[in-house]
Amino acid sequence: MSDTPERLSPELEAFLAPERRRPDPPTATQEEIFSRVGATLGWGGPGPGGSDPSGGAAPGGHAAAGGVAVAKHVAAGSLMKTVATLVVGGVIGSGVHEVYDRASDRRAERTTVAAVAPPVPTPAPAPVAAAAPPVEPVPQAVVKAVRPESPPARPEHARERDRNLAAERALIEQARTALAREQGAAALAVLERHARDYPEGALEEERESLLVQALVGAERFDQARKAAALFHRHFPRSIFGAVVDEALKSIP
Amino acid sequence: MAGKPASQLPNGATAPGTVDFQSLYKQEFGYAWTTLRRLGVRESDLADLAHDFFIVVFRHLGDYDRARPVKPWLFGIAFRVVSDYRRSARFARERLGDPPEVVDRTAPADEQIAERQAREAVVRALEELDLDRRAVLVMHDLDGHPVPEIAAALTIPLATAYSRLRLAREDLGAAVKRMRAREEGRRP
Repeated sequence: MSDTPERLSPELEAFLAPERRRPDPPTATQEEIFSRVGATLGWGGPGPGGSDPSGGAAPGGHAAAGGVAVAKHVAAGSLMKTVATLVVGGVIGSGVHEVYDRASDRRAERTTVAAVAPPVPTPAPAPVAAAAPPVEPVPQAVVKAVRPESPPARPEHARERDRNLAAERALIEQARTALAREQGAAALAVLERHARDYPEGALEEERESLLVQALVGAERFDQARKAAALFHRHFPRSIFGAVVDEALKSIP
Repeated sequence: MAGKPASQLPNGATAPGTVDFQSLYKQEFGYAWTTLRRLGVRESDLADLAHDFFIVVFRHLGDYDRARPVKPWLFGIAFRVVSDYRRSARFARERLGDPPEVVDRTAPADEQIAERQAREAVVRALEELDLDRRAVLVMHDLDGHPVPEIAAALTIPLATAYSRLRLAREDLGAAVKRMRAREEGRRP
């Protein structure tokens, strides 16, 4: 067996050439998907093209990414505590809740939701197996210190707000996972629970956009159209508007 | 063995050994998007699959070996995400009216149309290939990865990778001939 395969025939070479020049997707698409990934993973911040890619734009992402690496490869207790601190700090920290801030802007005053949902397991959103090729461990992996200084003490209402947001996020992620698995009824059930527990929650916008997709998935097309109209009325400049429209387009 | 790696992770402002998801996302989004399309994800499903793909990437970032090039690792993930997608009811469901791909406004319109049609022809021809063969052909003949790197990324024996590449080229050649024959048949 040769170490190099035969050269591609000139005919196939010419046929494939245009595909090699395929343009990149628009930046807006890149940023929209980054926002969705951030919402699923529980951190916000500007898109990937932000002016401070190494800084506080998505600290939860950095910390969690490093946390994943370290958790897999380092067993030292003190380092694990550091990782846990960074992960929690990153999630609770200031970069997490652009979504929350958007929601706060919409409502000048909001009442704190008293009921805190119990911890909800967060399943993987995509039904895919562990995908990495076999690789050697990376023992030298370290967590990037996103926030080297200790964060100031947070008041109780801020902690409660964060707990609520974490619970909300878990429900939204469950719904998203159910949708990805074509389980429209399950997605609707989770979304209804979110609507009941957090009628004006920080992730209301995401919930309403997922509701449209779930209704389309469940073939409740009239309700989907009505939900989409309501969505656009309530969130006319939403980044999820395109997703909602796309869901409607898929109605036969 | 493997030639020069197709790419390395951005070093950016990260500490040694740290994989910076945000930089990785920014640098490799286009590659991921294009790879998903080439592996058969419909335009209308690309955004959702790209989202799912990057969730998996994020969760497995700790498994990534920085000593290795990043694109084959990403391709391995994309391959598995697409495998699941193609088995799903969502893929089986017919969807019409895919949105148009991005347009290069700097090129004349007729060139754009011809280029786009040529790309669509490639994707249609690739669609006739079995996914396992198609993945090897995309990695080698479109992305330029050496075969040993492909075998490692897809966790298949080296001989299998060579065999799939050869068969994929045969399949692609046959698909192109069929397409051209159909086009000839449509001409007045």
